[in-house]
Amino acid sequence: MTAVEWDEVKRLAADFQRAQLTSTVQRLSERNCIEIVTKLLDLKLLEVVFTTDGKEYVTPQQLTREIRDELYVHGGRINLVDLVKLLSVDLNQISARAAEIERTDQNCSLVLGQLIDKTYVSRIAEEVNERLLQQGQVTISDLTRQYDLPSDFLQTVVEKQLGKTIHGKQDKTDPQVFFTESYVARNQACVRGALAAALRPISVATLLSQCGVEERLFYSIIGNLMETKQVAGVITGKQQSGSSMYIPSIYSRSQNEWVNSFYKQNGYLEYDALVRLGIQDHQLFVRRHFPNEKLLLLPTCALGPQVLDQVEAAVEEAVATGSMVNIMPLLPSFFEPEDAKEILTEVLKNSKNKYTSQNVHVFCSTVVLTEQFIQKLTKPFDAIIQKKAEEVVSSGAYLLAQAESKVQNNRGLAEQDESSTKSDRREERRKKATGGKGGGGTQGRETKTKSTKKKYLRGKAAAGDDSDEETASSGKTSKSSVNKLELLSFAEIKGVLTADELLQEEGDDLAELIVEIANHIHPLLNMSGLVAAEVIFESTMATTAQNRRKTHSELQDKLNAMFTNVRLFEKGIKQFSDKNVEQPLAKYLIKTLCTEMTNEIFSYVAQENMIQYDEAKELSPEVRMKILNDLPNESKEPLLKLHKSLNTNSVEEVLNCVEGALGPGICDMILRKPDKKKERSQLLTHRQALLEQLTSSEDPALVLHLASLVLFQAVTQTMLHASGRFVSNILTYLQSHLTAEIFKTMQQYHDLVLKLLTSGADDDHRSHIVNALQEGMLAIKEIATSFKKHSSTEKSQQQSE
Amino acid sequence: MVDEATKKTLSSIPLLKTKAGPRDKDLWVQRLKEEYQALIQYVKNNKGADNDWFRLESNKEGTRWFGKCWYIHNLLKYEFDVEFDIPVTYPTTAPEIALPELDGKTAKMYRGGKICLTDHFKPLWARNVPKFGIAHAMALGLGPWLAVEIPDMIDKGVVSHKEKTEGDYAT
Repeated sequence: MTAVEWDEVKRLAADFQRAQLTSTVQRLSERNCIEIVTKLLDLKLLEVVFTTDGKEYVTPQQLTREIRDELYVHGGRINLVDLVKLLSVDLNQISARAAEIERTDQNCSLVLGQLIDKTYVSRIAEEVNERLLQQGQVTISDLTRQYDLPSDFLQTVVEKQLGKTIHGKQDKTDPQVFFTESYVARNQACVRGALAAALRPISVATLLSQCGVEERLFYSIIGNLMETKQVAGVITGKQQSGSSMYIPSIYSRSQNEWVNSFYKQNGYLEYDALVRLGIQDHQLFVRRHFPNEKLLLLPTCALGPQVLDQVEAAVEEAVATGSMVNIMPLLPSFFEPEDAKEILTEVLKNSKNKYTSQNVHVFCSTVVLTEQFIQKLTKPFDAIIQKKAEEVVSSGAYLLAQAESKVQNNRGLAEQDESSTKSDRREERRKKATGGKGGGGTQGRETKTKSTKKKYLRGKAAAGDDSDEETASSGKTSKSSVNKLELLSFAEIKGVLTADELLQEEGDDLAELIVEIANHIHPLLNMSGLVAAEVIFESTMATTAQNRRKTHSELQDKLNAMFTNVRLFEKGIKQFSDKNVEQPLAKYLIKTLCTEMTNEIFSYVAQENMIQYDEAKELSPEVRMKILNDLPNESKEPLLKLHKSLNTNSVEEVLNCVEGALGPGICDMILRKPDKKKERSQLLTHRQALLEQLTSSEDPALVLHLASLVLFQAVTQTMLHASGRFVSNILTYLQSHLTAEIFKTMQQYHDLVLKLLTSGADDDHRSHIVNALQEGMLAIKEIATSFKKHSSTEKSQQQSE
Repeated sequence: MVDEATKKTLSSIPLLKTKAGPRDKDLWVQRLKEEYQALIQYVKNNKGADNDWFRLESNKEGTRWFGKCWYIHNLLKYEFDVEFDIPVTYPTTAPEIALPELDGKTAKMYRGGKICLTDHFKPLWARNVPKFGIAHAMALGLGPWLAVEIPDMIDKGVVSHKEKTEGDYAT
């Protein structure tokens, strides 16, 4: 047993030795390994690829193999990023390897970070083919979405396989689209049907929605159909935008026919109508449609030469006949005045050679008036103007305006010198202004309240003829508009024009036209009015100068006569020794004849000094005072004296004052010396006058009065100026000179007259007295007339004695 | 305490069961068998970990052991003779391992080249009687001692590398 055990020990010892002698495993520690590998790498003796966890190395060959394996496992397509995860190798290494693979292996390709195998590509091609068979059409973009591959790659794939695995056709217009023949045929049939059925323009969008055709395909189909002339029509508008329209040729043909026929019939084309026909860009359409026609494009329509000719003819005729024409009735009814205006400008432009624009005026945009016609229209105004001018001159308003315009002219001239005058009219005006007689004529036309409005209208009417001038002077307008003299108001002109026959003939609705005409002729009329006023003024000035000379001498004569009369009457008054009689008589004389004389002087002076007063009435002392106040100082003094002397009782003084007042510097009149011969004839004429009055008179009181005056003159050989009140005084004076018989008769008659005057309404008594007076009247008259002879004989007797 | 590596090494050495000394006739055989098994295992372990560091053999009775041990420092192999006797009181008393070559060259050594073991060794050994054997003594005693002392001595120049030994080993 022990031996066995010892054997066992021996065996174990041997085992132990063996165990100790066996070579130790040449095992390297991990650390050492890493060091060794790095060393090797440094020495470029070894090429390995580290895994991402850093614990493993892979040789490039191994990596390539692994990648290939993975590619196979994944069915021919694998993302490099997925490979990174699967092989836990850095992406850089993998992509480098993948690039290597792609380079060396023609079956593999690297697309968008993915490694793709030929098998995969062929599978795609098969799938595409299936899809094509199912749907009839395949686009690269769809495929891109489906396979998540770049379109150009797919494009090449599909194109390469086209006709091999993929049985289809590539779209000519869009290489990205593929379809089968049957699909195209189906769609083409659908579109052809739709297009053939269309009679009106139809938008492509509607067509597409109705046919259910893809827009891309639609255009290629349409192109195809049009090429093969299977449909008649055109596509307008930009393609692909969806806003394009399909216009069937049947539609455009009928449209053109309509337009042609309409134009042929009417000579114009209305844009509204075109729009109704579906033509949007009418101007372009018209221009394209009638390239040979000279169409006038107006805001609402296009006008052919026929209508234009009509208008032109009408205008020409109007010009030839010197009348007016409204072109509105010549134009189709829908024409607007603006259109008419453009037509007119066109017509006038065309025919500028034949008649200048001065001959023709356009009013209300549509009415053509010739200058002659306006002249005719203004004719009725001549009389009115004449009248008005006279009124203005006589009322003195003209004078006033002239005075003011003179001030204005001085200012206006300075300005006017600067602005060069252009038109002749203006020249004239200037001449007038420098002459100082224009009387507001300087800016006659501009100086109107309505100048702004008028300027605008005129500017339109005269087509810029003198609009620049207008604007140039518009600055002055506001200044000078204050003192313009308007002979004819705007309303008056309007009124006259409204009543004018010439215009009445033309139509009914003329209010606007009249306003414009009135606007036009208003300044002209005022101009001519002012000219007329000027003429009248000058002529009146001349006549008054003449008259004045005449009246001066007449007045001188008259005053002389009156003066002599007064002196004679004064002599007569002096016959009365009685102061009580003499005083009232003198007073009466002053009140009547002397006042009359004074008034004559005053009115003359007033006229000379242009003082306004009421000529119709007798001059009252107040009026005289007023005149006096306005007089210049040198003539004021004597006249004031004269005025005051009328309040005294002394005839002598009054006469002295009259003499002073008539002196040079005031009235420039000469009083003749008292002349016996003249006095005598004066007496005779006076007596004659009295006697005439007497014979014609029937009134008892007057007869008595006159008779007594005649008797007095006969007795005293002096004239007496007395009122009826003095009859009794005269009689008492005459008592001593008359025969008792005559005196008695006179006295009786006088009494009767007194009785008659004092008697009331007592009829019987009164008629009795009247009868007595009538009876006695003849006797009295007889006495008065016969006494002359008697007295004269008596006188001669006395003289002879 | 003992470092981790050592502990791990220890744990991989099979423990012994028989408590017997050279004087116990049959039981000692039993014990010796177990010693050998443990040593074989240990050597195998070391070789497996590329950590082989000694050669041992014993006399017929297994009371005296001798051999070589080596230590690699700076890629140079330093080799020393190793010998020890199994004390009579074994396994209660641990064997005293000696490196006669190094006698007098270091302070951590008794006369006759017996190595001074760490303070930990003895209580540890005492605690594990009779489970610890020669293999354990080598792993726990000589291994750490070499690791500490040899580099120190090389630094001091006490021990120098001998080409010969290398060559010997190679042959």
